[in-house]
Amino acid sequence: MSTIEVNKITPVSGGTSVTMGDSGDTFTVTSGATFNASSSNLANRPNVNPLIINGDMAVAQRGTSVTGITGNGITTLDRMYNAISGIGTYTVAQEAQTSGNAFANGFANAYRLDCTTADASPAAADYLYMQYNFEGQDVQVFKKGTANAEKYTLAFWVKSNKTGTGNIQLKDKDNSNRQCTQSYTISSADTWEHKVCVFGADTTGAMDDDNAKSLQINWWLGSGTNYSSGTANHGVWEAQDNTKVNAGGTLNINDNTANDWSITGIQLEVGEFTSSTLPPFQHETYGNNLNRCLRYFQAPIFTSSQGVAEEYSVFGTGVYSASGYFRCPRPLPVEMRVNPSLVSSSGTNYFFILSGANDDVNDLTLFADSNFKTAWVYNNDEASGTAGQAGILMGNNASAYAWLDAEL
Amino acid sequence: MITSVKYIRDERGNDSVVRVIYNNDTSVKITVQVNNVGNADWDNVVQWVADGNTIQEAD
Repeated sequence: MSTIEVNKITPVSGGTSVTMGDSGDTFTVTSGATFNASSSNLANRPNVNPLIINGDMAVAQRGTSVTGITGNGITTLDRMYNAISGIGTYTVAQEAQTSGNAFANGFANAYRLDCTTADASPAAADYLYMQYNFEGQDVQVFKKGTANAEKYTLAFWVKSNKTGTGNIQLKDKDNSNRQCTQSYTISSADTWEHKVCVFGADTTGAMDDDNAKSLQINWWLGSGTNYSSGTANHGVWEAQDNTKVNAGGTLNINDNTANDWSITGIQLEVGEFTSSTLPPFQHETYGNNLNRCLRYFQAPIFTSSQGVAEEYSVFGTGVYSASGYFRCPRPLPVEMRVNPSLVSSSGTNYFFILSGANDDVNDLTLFADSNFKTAWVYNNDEASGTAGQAGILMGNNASAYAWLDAEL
Repeated sequence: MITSVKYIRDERGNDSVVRVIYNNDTSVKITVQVNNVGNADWDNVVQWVADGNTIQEAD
């Protein structure tokens, strides 16, 4: 084996790239040696999965479009939270892409927010933003609160009928809501644009290494003056100051029913990158993406709006633990973040227990024995079977659903 | 915003689950275990009680 000793390898005159080896070749870094790639696309990639789950907006377990939204919550796309208070009415949808720059870069879906009732003069405390939440244990790689704290690079594709300045806020829920803001500019209306925003490193306040909410990203889309009357201090971590988080923001998606805002291809990287050095988006298979979403939300019984044959989706096989008291467990395919809530519809004969009694039941209730590995539900209102009978619990109506929610 | 919370008594006679109603919307039935710290619905209930509200007794 020969050895080459050089200080630098550069492209031939006029070139901009250097190729190493051929397909199938392996390059090995000897044990104990250091491969320093701090300014390349290889830098600090924390794992094989992207930090942001569902950043390509592929998974929408709750449904693909919901109208009449006036309040907080996740309504369509998994992990993407609408923060809305007193500032109009909106439709949030999974928007299929068939053309445009985002589509050309591999993004077939986007989160889209449409204003359907405008509020051009929001009260001081009103707000409108999209939010993403991380568990603390998933963002330890940023080493926040240490001398080695890392910067944050947030990249995404965005499109709106409005041009102007949008604000983004990082919020540390573990340390009195410390914050760091950054802005981006939408230059062309109705055109997908790629944005790369860098947030500073924070040597103050470590994030808890647990399954609770720690880091939050808020894309501000409109607000009252409580959130915009200050002077922005972009890129710098500081104590909570709500007046700065949307200072200088001009998107105001709330001010006209012609307004819309779409986003996709969200990626958060460890360290500082530019549009030239940003690592490529880590596309996942739909199955891998869905599997990660299941930690936060599962839909054992789902409705027709969720795109699959709606009736007869099965929650599980249970037993009448007493006469007229049907109890049903569901071993969960993915361990959930915490013990989930049961979120279900209620209506005449919405659910069915296939058993000796063949009971139609109207609704379900979470049973106390539920945990993050097995969900239990019961019905003791309409159930009529006798103790010891087994039964299969399923949907029985196009509007019936039973969801398990462990979102942050 | 929570508008009401009510205990639900289970087969064993324990009030171990509550029903949470947001924005007066009774078309959605949300049930969550008591003391399920970290669950967003239970955490909302804790804050709602801290704000001076009271959980209704079970039937």
